[in-house]
Amino acid sequence: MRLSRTIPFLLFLGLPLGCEENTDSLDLPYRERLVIEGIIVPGPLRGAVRVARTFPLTANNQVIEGTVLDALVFLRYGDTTRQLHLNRERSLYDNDSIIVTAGNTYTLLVDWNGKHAQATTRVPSPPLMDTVYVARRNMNDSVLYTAEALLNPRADEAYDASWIFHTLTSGGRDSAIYLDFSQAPLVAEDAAADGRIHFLFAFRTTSVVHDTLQFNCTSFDRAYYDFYISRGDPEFSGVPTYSYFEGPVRWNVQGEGVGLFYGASNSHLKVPLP
Amino acid sequence: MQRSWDASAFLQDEWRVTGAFSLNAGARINSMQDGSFTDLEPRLALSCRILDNVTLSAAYAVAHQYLHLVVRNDISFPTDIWVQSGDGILPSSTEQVSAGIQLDFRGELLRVEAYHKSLKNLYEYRDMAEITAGVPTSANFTSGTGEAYGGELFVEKKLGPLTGWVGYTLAWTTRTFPELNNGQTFFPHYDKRHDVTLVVLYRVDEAWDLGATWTYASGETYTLPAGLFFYGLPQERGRYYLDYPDRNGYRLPPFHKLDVSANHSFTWFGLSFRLSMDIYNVYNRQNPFARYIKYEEVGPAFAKYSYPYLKQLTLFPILPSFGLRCTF
Repeated sequence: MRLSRTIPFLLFLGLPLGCEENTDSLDLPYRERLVIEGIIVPGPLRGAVRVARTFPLTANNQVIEGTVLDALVFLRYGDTTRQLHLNRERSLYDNDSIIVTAGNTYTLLVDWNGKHAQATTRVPSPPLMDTVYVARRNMNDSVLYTAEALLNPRADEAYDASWIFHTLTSGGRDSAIYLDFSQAPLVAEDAAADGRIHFLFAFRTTSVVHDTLQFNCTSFDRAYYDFYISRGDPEFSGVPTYSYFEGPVRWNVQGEGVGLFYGASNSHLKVPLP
Repeated sequence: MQRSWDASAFLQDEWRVTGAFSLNAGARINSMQDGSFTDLEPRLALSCRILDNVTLSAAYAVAHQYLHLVVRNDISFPTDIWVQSGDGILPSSTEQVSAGIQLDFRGELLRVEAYHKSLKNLYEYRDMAEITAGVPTSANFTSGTGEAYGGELFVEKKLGPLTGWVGYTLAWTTRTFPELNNGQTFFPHYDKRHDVTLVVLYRVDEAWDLGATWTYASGETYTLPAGLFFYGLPQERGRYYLDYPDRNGYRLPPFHKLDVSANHSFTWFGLSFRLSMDIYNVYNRQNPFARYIKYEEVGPAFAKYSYPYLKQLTLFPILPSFGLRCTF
């Protein structure tokens, strides 16, 4: 039997296996699209919709808002389609003769510069708040208020909360202190075993003159939650510090546009402070 | 790390119905993870020789896969992982039909084939998936369907000092995920419209043989933002966002390269030697691996700002290599 062995000799010339090539001679892609910011709440439709446009990526070092003031904006609900008009003072589109109703579905239609975009939302009913518990604990030099609000969530909605201390001044005026903890909105999946969402609150104050504590809650179309969760760091603002890693956010505007159009409803419960 | 087991049984029968017509039928049953998933995979292949050197063929097959290649399409860099079925992830399944014709002449072969494949239970990352400790990876996945179809042409020369083959594939691959790309169908990373391979081998004499391979493939798709905008919700301060109109809306330039080789066989001191010289990517094509936007600080020191550049990562320039093999 012939014994055969193979001895490989491989000589590689010293060339790099990979490299990063700067292709800045290539144009960065740009496609102008509509930007839509819209929120509708029950009642007359006021200051509801902002329309803007996108800019090339190279415009990132400038303060750009790109508000579009000559768009055609319509709101469709049921068999009715109504036009929204520009409120020049606020650069927003609205029409206060349209009365938005909780539980109804609305479609926003925007046309500008040959581009068409649309989005649909349902205006949720006001949140179903159950109970607000408040407790007071006297500390050495302050008072600690703790509170818990219970809410019965509905599917396809998200909830955001804020708290307000009210004080009736000697002149009979209501003085309010708003406390917004900027928490991420909660959804039905966040409910406790009892099926309710528990909003917790703790506030330490040296002032003990407050009379009532108000729990404010807003219900949103679920699209708002999807946007909020997908966009990443909620604290971020100002000049962008993007890298390639930043990916798409979940918007609900369709067509040649981007943005969010969502319904919201508010309700509150006021309880006397112990 | 994930562990699992699977078991399968297979039954197949080759039946030559007539001298020219044959049929191959079979079925496979797979079971995975204590029987959590049990799937039957029937398959059928028909072959009919209509002339001495012309054969028609057709096939149908169903297949299941318990390992999923999950592709992250929302960022520019290829970021793929393999995950197994279970924990809310269903086995992916495909149903494929194909038909073809083969012409087999003396020393030359020509084959043309067309296929269609439908795919179910495919998984991808959700947009802006958050990879966080304690959050199951599958929580970042969303499921959808896919389709692949196209045709293949294969020509081969098998005899003589000059041999070789050329293969060409024209293909479309699509994905549809309700939660991705606004529910619109998109092309995944690996969708390649054209794929060509040309292989030529030339035997000069007993001592020398030469070879060349040229490959060409349409560029892969990738995602890039197409704009920038300011968005400010009433509840908070505004910020800038990147606009991604389409998932995988851009395509890298085509990939192509030529590799050549020369081999010389000789005897030295009674030992057989074979010297080989290969050059990978002869014309040093800068084939892109990925493109992405990178922000760099520009401007004077007192007023620096971020400016975006389109970067391209390329791999494997021209690579000569030499080899010497000794047989004793």
